[in-house]
Amino acid sequence: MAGDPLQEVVLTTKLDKVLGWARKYSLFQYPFVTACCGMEFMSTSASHYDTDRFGAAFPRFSPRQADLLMVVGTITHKQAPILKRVYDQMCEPKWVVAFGVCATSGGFYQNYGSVPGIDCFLPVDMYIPGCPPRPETVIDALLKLQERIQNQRHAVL
Amino acid sequence: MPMDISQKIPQWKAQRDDGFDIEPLYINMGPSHPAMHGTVKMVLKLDGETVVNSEVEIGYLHRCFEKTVEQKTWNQAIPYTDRLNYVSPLINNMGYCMAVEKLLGVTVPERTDYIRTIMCELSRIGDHLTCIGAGAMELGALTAFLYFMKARESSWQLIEEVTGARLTISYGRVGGVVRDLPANFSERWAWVKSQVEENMGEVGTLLNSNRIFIDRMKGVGVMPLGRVLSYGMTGPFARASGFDYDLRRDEPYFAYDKVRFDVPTRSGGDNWCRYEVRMEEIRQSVRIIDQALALMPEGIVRVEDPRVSLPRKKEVYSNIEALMNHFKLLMPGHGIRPDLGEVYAAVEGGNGELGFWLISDGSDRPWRLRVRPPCFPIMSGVEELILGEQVADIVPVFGSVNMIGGELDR
Amino acid sequence: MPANSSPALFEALQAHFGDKIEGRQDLHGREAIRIRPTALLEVVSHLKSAMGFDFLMDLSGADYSGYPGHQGDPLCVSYQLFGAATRARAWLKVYLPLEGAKVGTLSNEFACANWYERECWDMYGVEFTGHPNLKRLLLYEEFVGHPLRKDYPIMRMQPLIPMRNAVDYESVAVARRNEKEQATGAKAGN
Repeated sequence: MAGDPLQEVVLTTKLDKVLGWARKYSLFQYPFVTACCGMEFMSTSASHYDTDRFGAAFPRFSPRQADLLMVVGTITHKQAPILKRVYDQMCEPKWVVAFGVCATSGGFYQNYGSVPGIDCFLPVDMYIPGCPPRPETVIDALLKLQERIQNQRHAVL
Repeated sequence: MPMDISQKIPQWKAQRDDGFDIEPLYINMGPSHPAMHGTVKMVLKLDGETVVNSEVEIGYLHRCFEKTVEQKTWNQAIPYTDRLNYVSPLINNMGYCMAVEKLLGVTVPERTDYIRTIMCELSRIGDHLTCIGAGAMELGALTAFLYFMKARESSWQLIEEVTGARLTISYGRVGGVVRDLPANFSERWAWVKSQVEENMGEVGTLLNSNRIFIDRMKGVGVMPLGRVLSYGMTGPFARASGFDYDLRRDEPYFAYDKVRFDVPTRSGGDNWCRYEVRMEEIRQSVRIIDQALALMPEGIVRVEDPRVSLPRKKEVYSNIEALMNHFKLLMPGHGIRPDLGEVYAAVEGGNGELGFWLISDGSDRPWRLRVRPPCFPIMSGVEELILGEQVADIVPVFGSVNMIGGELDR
Repeated sequence: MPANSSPALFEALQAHFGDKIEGRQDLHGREAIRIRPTALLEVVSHLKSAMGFDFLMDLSGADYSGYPGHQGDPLCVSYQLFGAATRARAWLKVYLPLEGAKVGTLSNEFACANWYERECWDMYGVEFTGHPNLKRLLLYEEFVGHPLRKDYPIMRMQPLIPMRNAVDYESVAVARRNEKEQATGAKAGN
């Protein structure tokens, strides 16, 4: 990547910045809620901690219309094929957030039923630890994700 | 026996017999659905908009609670019990601790009973607020949801001041609770109470005489009393159909026999009755907390029994018996060791009777910990409940069932 | 404490059924009555029709393999009955062998027994003869084994889709447990 003069063309970097700005402030989440973290997710979206001020509150319950897959709660082996299917149905660009320790690593559920972290079968962009994570942690993660979206390459041309 | 639609609504076929040969439509309200509280799959067989048959599949959140706690010690199982009914975790905690204390034959101090009562009722308020709020949101009344989330936030802030965490609190221990209530609890409770009452008033004006809400809730999802008994349902769901049984009043535990409260029942058995029962239960819980705070005696909050509680730090550092006691309670292989035996103890959870069947083999780990989940029999009746209803009615019916995945699938 | 499966209930049942009632245990305020598996249906229907226990509170299994002092069949199915009008409780237990555990279904008497028995089949492998729909409830059809039995290792996962990290969790867990047992000499879980 380094040393390739075409990478530094002004048009593509400016386009990246504009697309990054547009995409980060209009995240449509698909809240794949399974367990207790869902309660904190509800709290974060409600009026006290409000994710709407970051442009990321409005959930789209169809994977075709969403770009941020928030996996909230424990994923079991019975649920894993469904999650994989939902991920596959989402269109690019898409980001995946593992909300809570159960989605990150399985948490303290190390047994025959729970998947030890969704990164066993999905690529994850942001891991939010906590059982359940405090709303401030979730907002921090959302801001970090937005920063990442701003700075990444958005392949259009 | 699962009912057929022609058993439930005998005139169903005649009503829609218009001479056309109709093929049924099968749709899937899948494991990831916005209105399903958690994960459950319903395969519906539809005739137009009417549900003719359905199959409910659960188990998408089976986190192997019962097998896991067989590997942990008696106190280490407490964080796992938090995640059973995760909207009212304190009730699960305290119920489990009560069951283990019965097995050990330990009596907790009086102050602990009152603290447990107060925290259980605070949790129950949170449970009912979430249930009604989410149910209203699914019908389109988003404002009611946001108001109730505000009230729930204030109760969670109070719970955080007492236990240290908002949701998964692990506040109970075998033999008592972790720590005493903070000194300013009464003032903070007065603030929470004012928030809850104000929000309930606001939501009441929004919903109680709202034509749309009434039309969608009244007469929808009727469960007659006979079927409630056959399905073994308890809790607000059963009380809305007329089954007047509440463990807090009929088999009292903690400090429930020292406070006065009413148990609301209705006889209609539809969504509207369940909504009314839950709203009234919130008011009764507020009443219980007020009385318990007034009657609470001073004292310690963990029983000073060497088999169960850690000795005070001062003693551990100064005399050898306390040091050995401390050592024995913490080292693997030692710890709390009830005698060989079994116990079944139940508390009134947010959804009904939450029973714990514990078997001890004399070691520091449970041999078997069975949780009787209150929403399990209610969910087993959902297939019958939605027979004959329209697809759009499934959502409020499911909201009033208050299925909690952590408890249902364990 | 209301009439919780009091000695009177045991005596009444014994008078009616004779030696189909095998024994009783006094368990911290509640009495559990042990009955012969073949007699379950008639005892329950007698309790329901003649003694007012028309509510099934709980139906669950337990595996007593290796339990200190236990003799006889290890798999137990426990029934918690309740009288909606009398507010009395009854606790019945039947003991079954590990191989070919079979007992009659209660789904004709109580509607909720349908799901309770499916869960018991799923977790313990107890077959309920006459059940209309005996398939797994909490786990998926492709799962092999009955996890709550004592011989099923907790870390044996059976994933449905390929998982990226190919660690064999079960052997890692067993190795760690053996190390701990050797180090502390303490009895480990199973």
